[in-house]
Amino acid sequence: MLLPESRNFLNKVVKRVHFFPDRADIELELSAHIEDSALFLQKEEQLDEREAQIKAIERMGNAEEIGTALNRQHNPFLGYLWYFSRIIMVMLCIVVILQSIPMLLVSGWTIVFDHPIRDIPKETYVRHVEPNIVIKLDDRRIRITDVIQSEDGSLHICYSHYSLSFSSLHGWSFGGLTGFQDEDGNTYFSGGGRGTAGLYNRARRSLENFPFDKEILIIELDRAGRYYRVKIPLGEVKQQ
Amino acid sequence: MIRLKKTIRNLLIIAVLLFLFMQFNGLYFSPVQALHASEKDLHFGPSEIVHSFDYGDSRYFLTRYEDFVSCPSIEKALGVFWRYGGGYGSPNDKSRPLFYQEAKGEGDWRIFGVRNDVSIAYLEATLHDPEGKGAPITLTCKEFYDDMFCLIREGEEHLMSITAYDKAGNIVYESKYRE
Repeated sequence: MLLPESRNFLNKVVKRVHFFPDRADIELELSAHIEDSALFLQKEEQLDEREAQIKAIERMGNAEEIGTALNRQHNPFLGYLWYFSRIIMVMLCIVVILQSIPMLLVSGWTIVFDHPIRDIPKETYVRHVEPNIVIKLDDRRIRITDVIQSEDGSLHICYSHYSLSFSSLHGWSFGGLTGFQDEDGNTYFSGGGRGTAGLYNRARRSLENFPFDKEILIIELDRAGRYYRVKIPLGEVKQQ
Repeated sequence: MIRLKKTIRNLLIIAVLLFLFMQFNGLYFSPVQALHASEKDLHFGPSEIVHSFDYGDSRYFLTRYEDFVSCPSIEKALGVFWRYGGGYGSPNDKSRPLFYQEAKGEGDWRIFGVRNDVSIAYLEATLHDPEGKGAPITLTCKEFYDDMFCLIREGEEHLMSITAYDKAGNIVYESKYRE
């Protein structure tokens, strides 16, 4: 139990410490020292509790000097920098975790479960090639994984894509492959398709009524300074 | 010393988290960075910034890239950041003495373009509110930046007509009147 004299001594010390979050710890540590010292004096010099504490305070030295020394040790600039950096770090951590959960879930779902190629029943395939061609478009990498023609004449181009930059976390979504033609220069626009969302995406583009006698699919883009052209041999049409 | 180490560790973690936070939310320290990142994602540009100006909480850019012109806006966010935005340009139709595009933002209306006929000294745009109730408003533009211009106004107006004049006040170009 600290005496008012000891409290007064501790107040004088901690007043000199400008980094206030440390004041309580300093006070606790010094009071423990005073109590230990007082107990020792009670035993060694047969003093009563009050006398022992007063002597212990005297032995501690000048409160202002101790406070000044402690203030140097508990640098307020570094102290506040550490204190606020801790708060900001925790807040940012919570925000980033909360924001990343939906994106990770969607991306994980795509990687594990969502394969647009499964939209096409295997028994309807009349030709199927796996070109595995990578198109580089700025930071985006587009991998053409499968080209399938089904018995209704539709040509399905299956591809995956992702961005090397982090902008896929917030940016414009990729509009999809465009510019389809055959070896004779006939262009194909009509059809459907779908894509997935997330950091890693899979997509399918289906072109209606692609002739069975065409042997090559050309995908070409030449716009706004960007260019790519890929030629995909489509292989033999399986006899029905 | 322990506190110094902890502070350095915290600051490094903050830098990584801040980077992720900015990426998740499309935030950049500079509007030009935000504009060019946006253009790159659209597989366009980087465009040349002809002129920029602040209006409301956004910075507007008059830009050119090859034959494309555009006037994207980049919005200020959280006081110190600029939010990813902007868009694809429109190809300048050089057969027209005055090529222009209308764009609508959140609560603002703007018209931008390029004078292909250098004799154009100023232009007037007549606007109407979408419901056609108010009196028509005429905006005049006399400033061109490398032949590009932009007129901006708060509100939901739409363009009724645009007329371009030479120095002497003769009509060089007149758009079709739109109700």
